[in-house]
Amino acid sequence: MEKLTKRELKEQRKLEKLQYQKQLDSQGRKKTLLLWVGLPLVILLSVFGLIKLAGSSSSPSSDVPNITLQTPVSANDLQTGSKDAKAVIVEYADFQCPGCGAEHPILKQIVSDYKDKVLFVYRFFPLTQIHQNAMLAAQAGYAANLQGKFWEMHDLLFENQQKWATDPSAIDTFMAFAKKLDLDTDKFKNDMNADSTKKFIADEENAGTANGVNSTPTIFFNNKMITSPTGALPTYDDLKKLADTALKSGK
Amino acid sequence: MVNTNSKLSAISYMPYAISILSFLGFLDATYLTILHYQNAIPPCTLSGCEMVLTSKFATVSGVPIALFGSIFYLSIFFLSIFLLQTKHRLALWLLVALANAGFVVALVLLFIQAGILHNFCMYCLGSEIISTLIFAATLLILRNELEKPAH
Repeated sequence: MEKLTKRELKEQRKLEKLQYQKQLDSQGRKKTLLLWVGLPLVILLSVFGLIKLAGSSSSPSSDVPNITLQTPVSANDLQTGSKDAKAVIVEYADFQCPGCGAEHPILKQIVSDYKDKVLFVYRFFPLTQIHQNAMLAAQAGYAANLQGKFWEMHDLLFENQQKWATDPSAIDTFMAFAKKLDLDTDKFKNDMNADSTKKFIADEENAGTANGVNSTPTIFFNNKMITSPTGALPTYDDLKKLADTALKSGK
Repeated sequence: MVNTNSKLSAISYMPYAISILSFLGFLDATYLTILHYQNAIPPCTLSGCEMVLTSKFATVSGVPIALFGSIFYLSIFFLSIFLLQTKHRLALWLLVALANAGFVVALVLLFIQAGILHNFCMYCLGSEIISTLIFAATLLILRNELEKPAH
Protein backbone atom coordinates (compact mmCIF):
# COMPACT_ATOMS: atom_id res chain seq x y z
CA MET A 1 0.00 0.00 0.00
CA GLU A 2 2.63 2.42 1.17
CA LYS A 3 4.92 1.63 -1.71
CA LEU A 4 2.13 2.23 -4.11
CA THR A 5 1.34 5.55 -2.56
CA LYS A 6 4.98 6.54 -2.73
CA ARG A 7 5.01 5.58 -6.36
CA GLU A 8 1.74 7.39 -6.89
CA LEU A 9 3.13 10.44 -5.17
CA LYS A 10 6.18 10.33 -7.37
CA GLU A 11 4.07 10.05 -10.47
CA GLN A 12 1.78 12.75 -9.27
CA ARG A 13 4.73 15.05 -8.75
CA LYS A 14 6.00 14.20 -12.20
CA LEU A 15 2.61 14.94 -13.64
CA GLU A 16 2.43 18.24 -11.82
CA LYS A 17 5.84 19.19 -13.06
CA LEU A 18 4.84 18.32 -16.59
CA GLN A 19 1.64 20.30 -16.31
CA TYR A 20 3.52 23.23 -14.93
CA GLN A 21 5.93 23.08 -17.83
CA LYS A 22 3.03 22.78 -20.27
CA GLN A 23 1.45 25.82 -18.71
CA LEU A 24 4.69 27.73 -19.11
CA ASP A 25 4.89 26.55 -22.71
CA SER A 26 1.37 27.61 -23.50
CA GLN A 27 2.02 30.96 -21.87
CA GLY A 28 5.07 31.38 -24.07
CA ARG A 29 3.09 30.29 -27.08
CA LYS A 30 0.35 32.74 -26.22
CA LYS A 31 2.95 35.46 -25.94
CA THR A 32 4.46 34.53 -29.30
CA LEU A 33 1.02 34.35 -30.86
CA LEU A 34 0.16 37.75 -29.44
CA LEU A 35 3.40 39.14 -30.83
CA TRP A 36 2.87 37.77 -34.33
CA VAL A 37 -0.74 38.93 -34.43
CA GLY A 38 -0.04 42.26 -32.76
CA LEU A 39 2.92 43.30 -34.88
CA PRO A 40 1.19 42.96 -38.27
CA LEU A 41 -1.70 44.87 -36.73
CA VAL A 42 0.67 47.68 -35.72
CA ILE A 43 2.13 47.63 -39.24
CA LEU A 44 -1.33 47.79 -40.81
CA LEU A 45 -2.41 50.63 -38.55
CA SER A 46 0.72 52.64 -39.33
CA VAL A 47 0.24 52.13 -43.08
CA PHE A 48 -3.31 53.35 -42.70
CA GLY A 49 -2.07 56.40 -40.79
CA LEU A 50 0.53 57.12 -43.45
CA ILE A 51 -2.08 56.94 -46.21
CA LYS A 52 -4.12 59.57 -44.39
CA LEU A 53 -1.03 61.70 -43.83
CA ALA A 54 0.08 61.46 -47.47
CA GLY A 55 -3.46 62.12 -48.66
CA SER A 56 -3.73 65.36 -46.76
CA SER A 57 -0.43 66.66 -48.11
CA SER A 58 -0.96 65.85 -51.78
CA SER A 59 -4.51 66.95 -52.46
CA PRO A 60 -4.49 69.00 -55.66
CA SER A 61 -5.39 72.36 -54.17
CA SER A 62 -3.74 72.32 -50.75
CA ASP A 63 -0.36 73.78 -51.66
CA VAL A 64 -0.93 75.78 -54.83
CA PRO A 65 0.92 79.06 -54.45
CA ASN A 66 -1.19 82.17 -54.77
CA ILE A 67 0.40 83.44 -57.97
CA THR A 68 -1.08 85.63 -60.69
CA LEU A 69 0.34 85.44 -64.19
CA GLN A 70 2.13 88.70 -64.97
CA THR A 71 2.87 87.97 -68.62
CA PRO A 72 -0.38 88.50 -70.50
CA VAL A 73 -1.33 86.40 -73.47
CA SER A 74 -0.18 88.16 -76.63
CA ALA A 75 -0.19 87.60 -80.37
CA ASN A 76 3.27 86.07 -80.04
CA ASP A 77 1.93 83.21 -77.98
CA LEU A 78 1.36 79.75 -79.40
CA GLN A 79 -2.39 79.49 -78.99
CA THR A 80 -5.50 77.67 -80.05
CA GLY A 81 -9.19 78.47 -79.52
CA SER A 82 -10.92 81.81 -79.42
CA LYS A 83 -9.11 85.04 -78.54
CA ASP A 84 -12.26 86.36 -76.84
CA ALA A 85 -12.75 83.26 -74.71
CA LYS A 86 -13.84 83.74 -71.11
CA ALA A 87 -11.70 80.80 -70.06
CA VAL A 88 -7.97 81.15 -70.74
CA ILE A 89 -5.61 78.32 -69.98
CA VAL A 90 -1.87 79.00 -70.10
CA GLU A 91 0.40 75.99 -69.73
CA TYR A 92 4.13 76.13 -69.13
CA ALA A 93 5.32 72.74 -70.30
CA ASP A 94 8.24 70.57 -71.27
CA PHE A 95 7.69 68.07 -74.08
CA GLN A 96 9.87 65.52 -72.28
CA CYS A 97 8.16 65.79 -68.89
CA PRO A 98 6.00 62.72 -68.17
CA GLY A 99 3.63 64.89 -66.12
CA CYS A 100 3.02 67.11 -69.15
CA GLY A 101 2.56 64.01 -71.27
CA ALA A 102 -0.08 62.79 -68.81
CA GLU A 103 -1.84 66.16 -68.77
CA HIS A 104 -1.78 66.48 -72.58
CA PRO A 105 -4.85 64.31 -73.38
CA ILE A 106 -6.81 66.08 -70.63
CA LEU A 107 -6.03 69.55 -71.97
CA LYS A 108 -6.66 68.39 -75.53
CA GLN A 109 -10.06 67.06 -74.49
CA ILE A 110 -10.95 70.33 -72.77
CA VAL A 111 -9.89 72.35 -75.82
CA SER A 112 -11.90 70.17 -78.19
CA ASP A 113 -14.96 70.05 -75.89
CA TYR A 114 -15.11 73.80 -75.33
CA LYS A 115 -13.87 74.85 -78.79
CA ASP A 116 -14.49 78.61 -79.08
CA LYS A 117 -15.24 79.13 -75.41
CA VAL A 118 -11.68 78.50 -74.32
CA LEU A 119 -8.27 79.82 -75.30
CA PHE A 120 -5.32 77.52 -74.76
CA VAL A 121 -1.76 78.87 -74.74
CA TYR A 122 1.37 76.73 -74.75
CA ARG A 123 4.57 78.23 -73.37
CA PHE A 124 7.97 76.54 -73.52
CA PHE A 125 9.55 75.56 -70.22
CA PRO A 126 12.13 72.87 -71.07
CA LEU A 127 13.76 71.43 -67.94
CA THR A 128 17.09 71.01 -69.69
CA GLN A 129 18.99 70.01 -66.54
CA ILE A 130 16.99 66.82 -66.12
CA HIS A 131 15.63 66.21 -69.61
CA GLN A 132 18.27 65.74 -72.28
CA ASN A 133 15.94 66.18 -75.28
CA ALA A 134 13.61 68.81 -73.81
CA MET A 135 15.30 71.74 -75.55
CA LEU A 136 15.54 69.98 -78.90
CA ALA A 137 11.87 69.04 -78.70
CA ALA A 138 10.94 72.64 -77.92
CA GLN A 139 13.00 73.74 -80.94
CA ALA A 140 11.16 71.20 -83.10
CA GLY A 141 7.85 72.58 -81.83
CA TYR A 142 8.83 76.15 -82.63
CA ALA A 143 10.19 75.23 -86.08
CA ALA A 144 6.91 73.47 -86.89
CA ASN A 145 5.09 76.63 -85.81
CA LEU A 146 7.01 78.62 -88.43
CA GLN A 147 5.32 76.39 -90.99
CA GLY A 148 1.95 76.68 -89.29
CA LYS A 149 1.88 73.21 -87.76
CA PHE A 150 2.75 73.77 -84.11
CA TRP A 151 -0.26 71.94 -82.66
CA GLU A 152 0.19 68.95 -84.93
CA MET A 153 3.85 68.70 -83.86
CA HIS A 154 2.87 69.33 -80.22
CA ASP A 155 0.50 66.35 -80.33
CA LEU A 156 3.06 64.08 -82.02
CA LEU A 157 5.75 65.03 -79.50
CA PHE A 158 3.56 64.28 -76.49
CA GLU A 159 1.92 61.18 -77.88
CA ASN A 160 5.28 59.62 -78.75
CA GLN A 161 7.15 60.98 -75.76
CA GLN A 162 8.50 57.63 -74.61
CA LYS A 163 9.96 56.86 -78.03
CA TRP A 164 12.30 59.83 -78.08
CA ALA A 165 12.61 61.03 -74.46
CA THR A 166 15.97 59.43 -73.71
CA ASP A 167 17.04 58.65 -77.26
CA PRO A 168 20.44 60.21 -78.12
CA SER A 169 19.30 60.46 -81.74
CA ALA A 170 15.93 62.04 -80.97
CA ILE A 171 16.53 64.46 -83.83
CA ASP A 172 15.85 61.63 -86.31
CA THR A 173 12.43 61.09 -84.72
CA PHE A 174 11.69 64.82 -84.93
CA MET A 175 12.71 64.88 -88.61
CA ALA A 176 10.39 61.92 -89.21
CA PHE A 177 7.56 63.87 -87.53
CA ALA A 178 8.31 66.86 -89.80
CA LYS A 179 8.10 64.61 -92.85
CA LYS A 180 4.86 63.09 -91.58
CA LEU A 181 3.37 66.58 -91.26
CA ASP A 182 4.49 67.44 -94.81
CA LEU A 183 6.82 70.17 -93.61
CA ASP A 184 9.70 71.47 -95.66
CA THR A 185 12.31 69.42 -93.83
CA ASP A 186 15.31 71.55 -94.86
CA LYS A 187 13.64 74.68 -93.59
CA PHE A 188 12.47 72.79 -90.49
CA LYS A 189 16.02 71.73 -89.68
CA ASN A 190 17.38 75.24 -90.23
CA ASP A 191 14.63 76.81 -88.16
CA MET A 192 15.23 74.34 -85.36
CA ASN A 193 18.82 75.43 -85.02
CA ALA A 194 18.23 79.14 -85.62
CA ASP A 195 19.28 81.50 -82.85
CA SER A 196 15.89 83.19 -83.02
CA THR A 197 14.24 79.86 -82.17
CA LYS A 198 16.47 79.31 -79.18
CA LYS A 199 15.92 82.89 -78.08
CA PHE A 200 12.12 82.55 -78.26
CA ILE A 201 12.23 79.44 -76.08
CA ALA A 202 14.69 80.98 -73.62
CA ASP A 203 12.58 84.15 -73.36
CA GLU A 204 9.44 82.15 -72.58
CA GLU A 205 11.29 80.09 -70.03
CA ASN A 206 12.72 83.20 -68.36
CA ALA A 207 9.30 84.80 -68.26
CA GLY A 208 7.97 81.59 -66.72
CA THR A 209 10.64 81.65 -64.02
CA ALA A 210 9.79 85.30 -63.33
CA ASN A 211 6.15 84.24 -62.94
CA GLY A 212 7.07 81.71 -60.28
CA VAL A 213 7.08 78.66 -62.52
CA ASN A 214 9.52 76.01 -61.27
CA SER A 215 7.90 72.80 -62.37
CA THR A 216 6.00 71.44 -65.35
CA PRO A 217 3.24 71.41 -66.17
CA THR A 218 2.43 74.71 -64.49
CA ILE A 219 -1.06 75.73 -65.52
CA PHE A 220 -2.66 79.15 -65.13
CA PHE A 221 -6.42 79.36 -65.42
CA ASN A 222 -7.56 82.92 -66.11
CA ASN A 223 -4.16 84.13 -64.90
CA LYS A 224 -4.30 82.22 -61.63
CA MET A 225 -1.86 79.41 -60.96
CA ILE A 226 -3.72 76.14 -60.33
CA THR A 227 -0.85 73.65 -60.08
CA SER A 228 2.04 73.08 -57.69
CA PRO A 229 5.25 71.04 -57.86
CA THR A 230 4.02 68.72 -55.13
CA GLY A 231 0.31 68.52 -55.81
CA ALA A 232 -1.59 66.14 -58.02
CA LEU A 233 -2.16 67.33 -61.59
CA PRO A 234 -5.61 68.71 -62.43
CA THR A 235 -8.04 66.15 -63.79
CA TYR A 236 -10.51 66.68 -66.62
CA ASP A 237 -13.22 67.33 -64.03
CA ASP A 238 -11.10 69.90 -62.19
CA LEU A 239 -10.59 71.87 -65.41
CA LYS A 240 -14.18 71.44 -66.54
CA LYS A 241 -15.40 72.81 -63.23
CA LEU A 242 -13.15 75.85 -63.55
CA ALA A 243 -14.20 76.43 -67.16
CA ASP A 244 -17.90 76.06 -66.40
CA THR A 245 -17.69 78.46 -63.47
CA ALA A 246 -15.78 81.03 -65.51
CA LEU A 247 -18.22 80.76 -68.43
CA LYS A 248 -21.24 81.04 -66.16
CA SER A 249 -20.01 84.10 -64.32
CA GLY A 250 -19.06 85.61 -67.66
CA LYS A 251 -15.94 87.15 -66.23
CA MET B 1 36.61 42.33 -17.50
CA VAL B 2 34.17 45.09 -16.71
CA ASN B 3 34.77 46.42 -20.18
CA THR B 4 33.86 43.22 -21.98
CA ASN B 5 30.77 42.85 -19.84
CA SER B 6 29.43 46.28 -20.67
CA LYS B 7 30.26 45.66 -24.33
CA LEU B 8 28.29 42.43 -24.23
CA SER B 9 25.27 44.02 -22.67
CA ALA B 10 25.36 46.80 -25.25
CA ILE B 11 25.46 44.22 -27.98
CA SER B 12 22.52 42.30 -26.55
CA TYR B 13 20.43 45.43 -27.15
CA MET B 14 21.38 45.55 -30.82
CA PRO B 15 18.48 43.39 -32.08
CA TYR B 16 16.09 45.76 -30.30
CA ALA B 17 17.83 48.70 -31.95
CA ILE B 18 17.45 46.98 -35.31
CA SER B 19 13.74 46.41 -34.70
CA ILE B 20 13.16 50.06 -33.87
CA LEU B 21 15.33 51.34 -36.72
CA SER B 22 13.71 49.07 -39.28
CA PHE B 23 10.25 50.14 -38.10
CA LEU B 24 11.22 53.79 -38.61
CA GLY B 25 12.69 52.92 -42.00
CA PHE B 26 9.47 51.15 -42.88
CA LEU B 27 7.39 54.23 -42.00
CA ASP B 28 9.70 56.43 -44.09
CA ALA B 29 9.79 54.22 -47.18
CA THR B 30 6.08 53.45 -47.02
CA TYR B 31 5.23 57.13 -46.86
CA LEU B 32 7.22 57.70 -50.06
CA THR B 33 5.60 54.66 -51.71
CA ILE B 34 2.13 55.95 -50.88
CA LEU B 35 3.00 59.41 -52.20
CA HIS B 36 4.23 57.81 -55.42
CA TYR B 37 1.03 55.88 -56.04
CA GLN B 38 -1.32 58.66 -54.98
CA ASN B 39 0.38 60.96 -57.40
CA ALA B 40 0.90 58.43 -60.16
CA ILE B 41 2.42 60.89 -62.65
CA PRO B 42 3.62 63.90 -60.68
CA PRO B 43 4.81 67.21 -62.14
CA CYS B 44 8.47 67.54 -63.18
CA THR B 45 10.58 69.90 -61.16
CA LEU B 46 14.11 71.15 -61.01
CA SER B 47 14.78 71.23 -57.32
CA GLY B 48 14.27 69.53 -54.05
CA CYS B 49 12.72 66.30 -53.03
CA GLU B 50 10.27 66.17 -55.94
CA MET B 51 13.11 66.17 -58.41
CA VAL B 52 14.78 63.24 -56.70
CA LEU B 53 11.50 61.36 -56.35
CA THR B 54 10.47 61.95 -59.95
CA SER B 55 13.85 61.36 -61.54
CA LYS B 56 14.37 58.32 -63.71
CA PHE B 57 16.37 56.81 -60.85
CA ALA B 58 13.37 56.79 -58.51
CA THR B 59 11.78 53.78 -60.18
CA VAL B 60 12.95 50.46 -61.52
CA SER B 61 10.79 49.57 -64.51
CA GLY B 62 7.86 51.45 -63.05
CA VAL B 63 8.17 50.18 -59.48
CA PRO B 64 9.25 52.91 -57.05
CA ILE B 65 12.45 52.19 -55.14
CA ALA B 66 10.56 53.28 -52.02
CA LEU B 67 8.41 50.15 -52.36
CA PHE B 68 11.53 47.96 -52.35
CA GLY B 69 12.56 49.96 -49.28
CA SER B 70 9.27 49.20 -47.52
CA ILE B 71 9.64 45.48 -48.19
CA PHE B 72 13.30 45.59 -47.15
CA TYR B 73 12.59 47.27 -43.82
CA LEU B 74 9.59 45.06 -43.12
CA SER B 75 11.73 41.95 -43.69
CA ILE B 76 14.44 43.30 -41.40
CA PHE B 77 11.81 44.16 -38.79
CA PHE B 78 10.28 40.69 -38.67
CA LEU B 79 13.67 39.00 -38.87
CA SER B 80 14.94 41.00 -35.91
CA ILE B 81 11.84 40.11 -33.87
CA PHE B 82 12.29 36.49 -34.89
CA LEU B 83 15.94 36.67 -33.81
CA LEU B 84 14.96 38.12 -30.43
CA GLN B 85 12.39 35.37 -29.95
CA THR B 86 14.32 32.34 -31.05
CA LYS B 87 18.02 33.39 -31.08
CA HIS B 88 18.10 31.42 -34.30
CA ARG B 89 21.40 31.57 -36.17
CA LEU B 90 19.73 31.51 -39.58
CA ALA B 91 17.78 34.67 -38.72
CA LEU B 92 21.05 36.38 -37.88
CA TRP B 93 22.68 35.36 -41.15
CA LEU B 94 19.66 36.48 -43.18
CA LEU B 95 19.66 39.75 -41.28
CA VAL B 96 23.35 40.31 -42.01
CA ALA B 97 22.89 39.50 -45.70
CA LEU B 98 19.90 41.84 -46.04
CA ALA B 99 21.60 44.64 -44.12
CA ASN B 100 24.66 44.32 -46.39
CA ALA B 101 22.52 44.62 -49.49
CA GLY B 102 20.66 47.56 -47.96
CA PHE B 103 23.89 49.35 -47.18
CA VAL B 104 25.14 48.96 -50.76
CA VAL B 105 21.82 50.25 -52.16
CA ALA B 106 21.96 53.20 -49.73
CA LEU B 107 25.44 54.09 -50.96
CA VAL B 108 24.34 53.91 -54.61
CA LEU B 109 21.27 56.09 -53.95
CA LEU B 110 23.36 58.59 -52.04
CA PHE B 111 25.82 58.72 -54.94
CA ILE B 112 22.99 59.32 -57.43
CA GLN B 113 21.64 62.22 -55.37
CA ALA B 114 25.02 63.82 -54.79
CA GLY B 115 26.75 63.07 -58.08
CA ILE B 116 24.02 63.01 -60.72
CA LEU B 117 20.94 64.87 -59.51
CA HIS B 118 22.77 67.39 -57.30
CA ASN B 119 19.68 67.42 -55.12
CA PHE B 120 18.83 65.69 -51.90
CA CYS B 121 15.60 64.44 -50.48
CA MET B 122 15.26 64.37 -46.71
CA TYR B 123 13.15 61.21 -46.71
CA CYS B 124 15.73 59.44 -48.87
CA LEU B 125 18.62 60.61 -46.72
CA GLY B 126 16.75 59.44 -43.62
CA SER B 127 16.34 56.02 -45.13
CA GLU B 128 20.01 55.88 -46.10
CA ILE B 129 21.08 56.75 -42.55
CA ILE B 130 18.77 54.08 -41.11
CA SER B 131 20.12 51.45 -43.53
CA THR B 132 23.66 52.31 -42.52
CA LEU B 133 22.86 52.11 -38.81
CA ILE B 134 21.16 48.74 -39.26
CA PHE B 135 24.19 47.53 -41.18
CA ALA B 136 26.51 48.67 -38.38
CA ALA B 137 24.31 46.99 -35.75
CA THR B 138 24.34 43.66 -37.59
CA LEU B 139 28.12 43.86 -37.89
CA LEU B 140 28.40 44.34 -34.12
CA ILE B 141 26.18 41.34 -33.44
CA LEU B 142 28.05 39.26 -35.97
CA ARG B 143 31.45 40.14 -34.53
CA ASN B 144 30.23 39.22 -31.08
CA GLU B 145 28.87 35.89 -32.35
CA LEU B 146 32.09 34.99 -34.13
CA GLU B 147 34.18 35.80 -31.04
CA LYS B 148 32.09 33.42 -28.96
CA PRO B 149 33.67 29.99 -28.54
CA ALA B 150 31.80 27.35 -30.55
CA HIS B 151 29.65 24.99 -28.54
